[in-house]
Amino acid sequence: MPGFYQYRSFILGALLIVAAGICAYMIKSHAIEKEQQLESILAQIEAEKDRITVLEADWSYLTRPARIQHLSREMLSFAPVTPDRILTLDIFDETEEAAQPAGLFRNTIFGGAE
Amino acid sequence: MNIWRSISSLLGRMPAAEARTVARQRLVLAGSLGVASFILIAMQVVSLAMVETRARADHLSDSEAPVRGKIYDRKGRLLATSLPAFMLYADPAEVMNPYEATLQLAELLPGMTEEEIFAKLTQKGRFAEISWKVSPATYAKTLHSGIVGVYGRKRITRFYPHRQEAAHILGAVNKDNIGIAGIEAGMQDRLIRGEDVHLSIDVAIQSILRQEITEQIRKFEAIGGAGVVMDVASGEIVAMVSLPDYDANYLADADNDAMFNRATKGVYELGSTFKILNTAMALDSGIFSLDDMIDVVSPLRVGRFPIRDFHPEKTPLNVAEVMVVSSNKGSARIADTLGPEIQQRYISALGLTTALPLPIPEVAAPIVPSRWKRAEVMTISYGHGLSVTPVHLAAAIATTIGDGTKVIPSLEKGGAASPIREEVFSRETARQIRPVLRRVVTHPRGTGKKADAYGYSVGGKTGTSEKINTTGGYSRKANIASFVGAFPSHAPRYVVMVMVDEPKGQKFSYNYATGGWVAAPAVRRFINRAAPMLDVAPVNEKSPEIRQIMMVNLPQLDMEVKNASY
Repeated sequence: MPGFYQYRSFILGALLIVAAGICAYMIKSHAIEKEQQLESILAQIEAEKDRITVLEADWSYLTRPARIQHLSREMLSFAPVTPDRILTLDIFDETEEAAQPAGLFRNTIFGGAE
Repeated sequence: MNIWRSISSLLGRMPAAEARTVARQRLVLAGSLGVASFILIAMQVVSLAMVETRARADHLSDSEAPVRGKIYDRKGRLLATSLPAFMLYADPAEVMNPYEATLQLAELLPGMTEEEIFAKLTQKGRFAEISWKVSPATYAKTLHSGIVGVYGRKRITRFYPHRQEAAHILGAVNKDNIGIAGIEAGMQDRLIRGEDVHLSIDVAIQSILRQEITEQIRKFEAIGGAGVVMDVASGEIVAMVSLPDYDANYLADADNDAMFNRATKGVYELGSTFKILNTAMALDSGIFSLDDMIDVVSPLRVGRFPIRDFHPEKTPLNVAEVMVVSSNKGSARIADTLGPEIQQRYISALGLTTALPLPIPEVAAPIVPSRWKRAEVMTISYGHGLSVTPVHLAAAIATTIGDGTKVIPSLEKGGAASPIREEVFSRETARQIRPVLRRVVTHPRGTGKKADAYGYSVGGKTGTSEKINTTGGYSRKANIASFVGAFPSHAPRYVVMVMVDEPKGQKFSYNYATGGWVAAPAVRRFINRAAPMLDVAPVNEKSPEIRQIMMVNLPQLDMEVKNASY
């Protein structure tokens, strides 16, 4: 086919233009697709934020102190802490210096610095 | 070059062989263009088919304006938020079967009666609002039930998860999400920018305070009450209750009495609780010491009116004892010696003459006597003639028993940022007044014995005052019973103020409806429950350090008690 050799540069040129066109088109359509993806992800984020807001409100509603108090009393028989059930670390100071458990405690927790 | 030749060949005549070549070229060109355009069209079709239909997302932040900020308590619990909701409406012209639709809707909307719904569905016009606010779940169910002619429109609504808790503080927004009361109105600028707000309130403490005051209101058949818990060091209001209250989500259903904030907008003559301030003034001015003797026996008159004591004394008492037994005569005599200038100076330095600097619109200015002479000085000393809000009093007491620098009440976490530390009383005055307050609660003759929360060394003062009736006089029947206290009394961390409005004497209280009977027990129960949550450790009052700083001489009262025990 002498024609092919004769006009190969013309055909090549035409193919190049077509290829470039296809490339440009693909890039453009890809960009549009990405844009749409981005938009849908943003919409998803918004929807998740909405859901978080609703869940946060739900959580706050379900953990109302009065409700927790009622449940802990009725279901777990809890009661407010009375002062005689509260001890502070000071009680270790009143034990004898030589007393083994307290001494040990002091050396480990307070590094014996006291 | 070839291309140019082929194009030029199109214009002129050419040999047959060449013409064939040109024809072939044209064919190739047309063919490739055809293929290319086919590919382009095909790809367009394919891509169109593959692109998902863009969901028309309807979100909280749909509009240009940011979502209204949330309100949190000091521990990060959500107090107010904006949620998606739907306005449910009908086009009555489109509703095919209003009877069936009514039954279906009535099941979904428990808040409405069938009559109401039916009336809406059959009313004239093309638009009938059925419900202003339904949850997304209810709306979805409405859609699923397939009722013809019922529609929904998305809207944003304010939700208060804790309902009655702190309703007065939070306030409300109108249909356009503009704050109209409480923090919603007072911090409108910040909230509308989408900024979150962190309040000084601890909703757990709030809940306990509300329960305990509610209990006293019930027991004494009172019409209302108020309570304040304030951090002595920072002035942060940790809890603030006004009763009766309402569900913040249903403001429209609340009556005016429930909406009234007694803690910040109600001004009351708070009675003997003012004696704490009177005693502090006496000590701080240097005119009195705790051991100075006061005549509480001989009669005392202000103009035509005698000043009487609830429990008349037979012997003179010292300044500390005057407060422990809550003697009106003694307090009036002390104030009379101080005079109007000193009293006015301290009262205004304590902030008791100006409106509260709180970021809510519901704040009232105190009612200050227009004439402030000898008679007013004497009555103010025991809490009559000057009306303030419970928060005013709590802040003044925090100032007095703290380190003497002015405590500015605040509803924001962290307290009011004021660079100026204004000294009202000296540290020494605060140090002297604390043991006296403790004695009011522990001494057999003290009036606040029912406030003694075991283990937390409560100090405080009771108050019982007659309410001013509509004619301007005092009402014998209507009382305000109050107690203001601090704990632990040797180094106060929190001030607790409880006030009960118009309690009625009960059989179990021997017909008394005084601060000691009505308000003090609420304070005791509150402190017993709340102190561990407020990180206040129990106090060993027998320890030598505490005994030493809590010394106070009450010679006359101690002698009375000693004699009585024989």
